[in-house]
Amino acid sequence: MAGLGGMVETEEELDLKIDSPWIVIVWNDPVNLMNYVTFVLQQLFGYSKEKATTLMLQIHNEGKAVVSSGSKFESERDVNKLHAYGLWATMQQDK
Amino acid sequence: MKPPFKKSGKGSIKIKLTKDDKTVIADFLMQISSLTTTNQSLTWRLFPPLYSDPVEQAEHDLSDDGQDQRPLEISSSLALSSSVLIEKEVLTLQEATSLLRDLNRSRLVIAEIIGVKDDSFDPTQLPSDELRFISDVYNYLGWIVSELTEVMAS
Repeated sequence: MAGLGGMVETEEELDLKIDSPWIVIVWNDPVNLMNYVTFVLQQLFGYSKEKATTLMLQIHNEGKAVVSSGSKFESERDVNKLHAYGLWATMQQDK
Repeated sequence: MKPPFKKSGKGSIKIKLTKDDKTVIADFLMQISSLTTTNQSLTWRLFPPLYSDPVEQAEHDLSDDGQDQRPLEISSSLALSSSVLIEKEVLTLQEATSLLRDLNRSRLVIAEIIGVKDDSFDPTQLPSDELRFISDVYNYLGWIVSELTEVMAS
C-alpha cells in the first residue's frame, strides 16, 4: 500500500473516522457583537445566558469555541443555522 | 439617544425609529442586497465554509447543488427586511429575527468595505470622507443591532 503515497487509510483509521463525533466551532471575528453572539447561541442551542456568555467569551478571548457536537448531519444543520446568523462557524471530526 | 425598539405584547416588537432613520437603514439594506449578488469580494463574510478542513470543503463544494442559490436567498432576505422596516410599525418575532440577521449581514459587508480586519481597526485612519461616513453607518448599525438584540433577549 505504500505505493499509493499514504492515500489509503488503515482499518483502524477508518473506524476512528466513522465513530468520531463531529464538533461545531465558532471562530472569533471583529464584526459580530458580543451580545449578538450570546443571543444567537441561546436561540439556536437553547443554552442558558450564563453558558452562552461563557462560550462567547471563550470565542472572543481564545479565538474559537466548540458550541455543539453530534452526528455529521446534526453538525451540518448547526453550522448552517450559525451561518444564517452571520457567525463564522465550521465543523470537523473530533479526533 | 432614545431606544429604537420596544417590546410590545405577545412577543412583538415596536419600531421607534424616526422615518428618516428608517429610510437610511432601509436604503443601506437595499444596497447590501444588490452587492450580495454582484460582488463576491465584499460579501465573502456572508458565505463561510462548512468544514474546517479545506479538502473536505472542496469535496463538499463539488456535490453542493444549492451553493449558487445562497447569494440570491440572502439578497432577497435583505430586500424584504428593507421593505418591512419601511412599511411596518410593529414587527412579529419572526420579522424581528429576520431584520436582526439582515442588519448584522449588512455590518459584515460594510466591515469589508471600510477594511475592518481585527479589533485594532481605527476609523480615524480611513483615507476619505466617504469611507468615514460609511464607518459612521457601520457604528450606527452596530448600535441598532445591539439594541434589537437586547430587546429580543429580554
